[in-house]
Amino acid sequence: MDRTSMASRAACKAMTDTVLPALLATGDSQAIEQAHLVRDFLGYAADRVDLVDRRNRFHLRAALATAEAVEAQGVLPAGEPVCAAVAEGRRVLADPDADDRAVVAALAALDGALCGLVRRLGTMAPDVRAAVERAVVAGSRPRLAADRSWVAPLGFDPEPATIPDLLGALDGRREDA
Amino acid sequence: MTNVGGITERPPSLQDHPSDALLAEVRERYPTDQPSQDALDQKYARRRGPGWSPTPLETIADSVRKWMRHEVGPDVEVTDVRWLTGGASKIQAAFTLRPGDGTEQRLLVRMDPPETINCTNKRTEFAVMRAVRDHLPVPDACWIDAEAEYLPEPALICGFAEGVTKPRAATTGQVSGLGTNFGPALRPSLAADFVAHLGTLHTMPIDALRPPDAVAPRVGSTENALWRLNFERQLWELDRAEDVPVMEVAGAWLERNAPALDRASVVHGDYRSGNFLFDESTGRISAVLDWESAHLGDRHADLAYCTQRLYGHYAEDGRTFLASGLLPAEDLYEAYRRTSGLEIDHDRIRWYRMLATYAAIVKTLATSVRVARLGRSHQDVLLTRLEGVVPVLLGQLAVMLEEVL
Repeated sequence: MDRTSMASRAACKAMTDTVLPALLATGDSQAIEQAHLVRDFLGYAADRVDLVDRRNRFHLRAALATAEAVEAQGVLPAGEPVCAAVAEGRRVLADPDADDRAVVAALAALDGALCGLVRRLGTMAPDVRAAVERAVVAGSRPRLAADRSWVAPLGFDPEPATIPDLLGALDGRREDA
Repeated sequence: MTNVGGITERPPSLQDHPSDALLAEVRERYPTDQPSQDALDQKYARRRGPGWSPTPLETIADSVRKWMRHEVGPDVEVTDVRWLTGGASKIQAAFTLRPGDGTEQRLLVRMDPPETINCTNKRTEFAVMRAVRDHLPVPDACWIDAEAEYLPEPALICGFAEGVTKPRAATTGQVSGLGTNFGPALRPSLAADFVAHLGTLHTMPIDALRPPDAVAPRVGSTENALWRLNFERQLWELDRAEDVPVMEVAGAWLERNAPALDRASVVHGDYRSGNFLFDESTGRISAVLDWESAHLGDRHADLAYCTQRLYGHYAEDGRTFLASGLLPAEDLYEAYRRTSGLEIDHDRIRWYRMLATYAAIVKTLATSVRVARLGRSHQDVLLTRLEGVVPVLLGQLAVMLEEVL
């Protein structure tokens, strides 16, 4: 059984109970600030480590949906790398035994192919460019919604009340970025 | 490796140490002004050096003593050296300088780590601080060690400015001053100073700033906008560890829609809450800080930057969003028009807001990750925490793109 989450919580508790009080007494502001960051990260990691695989599969599903939406425009030339990346993404998602490295590689291939396509759009007709760009932006929204939930504990979001539930976002139930 | 759209795509790990050929390819594809290119060239040249390791305070003290003996004279004394926190990008220490004539001065040495979230030109920072000191309250820029002749890394020595970046009793405000809540009592006077200083900055003469420290872009051309965009695109190409399709869409839109410049101004480049000091008793700004991103360019860059949502928060009514925690954006624009006499073009505000968001993503999703991955700064643990702003910024970018595509 993996104990990373439990060990992270124990380390977080040690920072809170022992390390930080000792550091506060020294008055070393840089060390105190970094110790707080370390403590916070340990708590964050403890909450997230068991969900990493699920997050990567969600991102692969969402990237695949984006690429499929681009494909559906019917404007991609033969041999377009996006088509090969879509095929590989489908194969990995359909494989229940695919490990996390395969999921991440398929995700990177899809994102890389979409970036390459966007870079070549300047040589294509304006209506093709606009359709593909709109599909790419629309396809980013579910991923951004899930990522807002993922990083919510870090405390930077200026509108925390609108952050979607993490597990719901990873299941694709909420799609508002 | 594959070649896509004119740029050779690389496995991310190869970008840890970009080759001369890759650097030249990116430089040629995304040309920027010479001071910015110098900053980029220095960043990647230093990448070949060692990573960050703690510098003992005594090493800093000895280096500053040697430097001050050269600048001031053999009888100089450097005492009371102590560390200060320097935000995400600088290593800072305060010290007392006694030149030997019976006087003494409290000063601040600001040194770079080997690599940081900001890619900056120290000569430009120094020259701009000198140029603006007759117009705005700024720390006195005393000496520069641009080539790390005395300190372990490039450094500046500045006067020690008094004041606080947020109310001492404040419980809000993130690392690096994001989202600082000044409270309703302090806001009116701070907002008035904040806007007035920005107008003064944008209307002051720029003649004192010349190459190689700064280059004025041509008025009536898109040169400035493309220089600023291309600077960020070089960083994105060389620092990012992952492909992000929406960033490619944004880069392409910004390039297609680069606005012309109507007037060249001194641009602060990081004008927001957290980057000024104020006197809590008077509610007045005592010093404008952090000039490392300053350049000659378009005033709309600062106006768009300081009104980004990341640097603001809602007022007590829960409905009014306060730009930089001070006043609503439209009120800021109106006060700026009134005090500076300069017009505001909302199309250019929109373009520079998208560029500011793009640049913030470059910093937080590309440079911060690369610097922390390679262990190159004293604040790697803070840089990794900036992951928390990436979805907010990318969400803003997506919304802006949906409005214009």
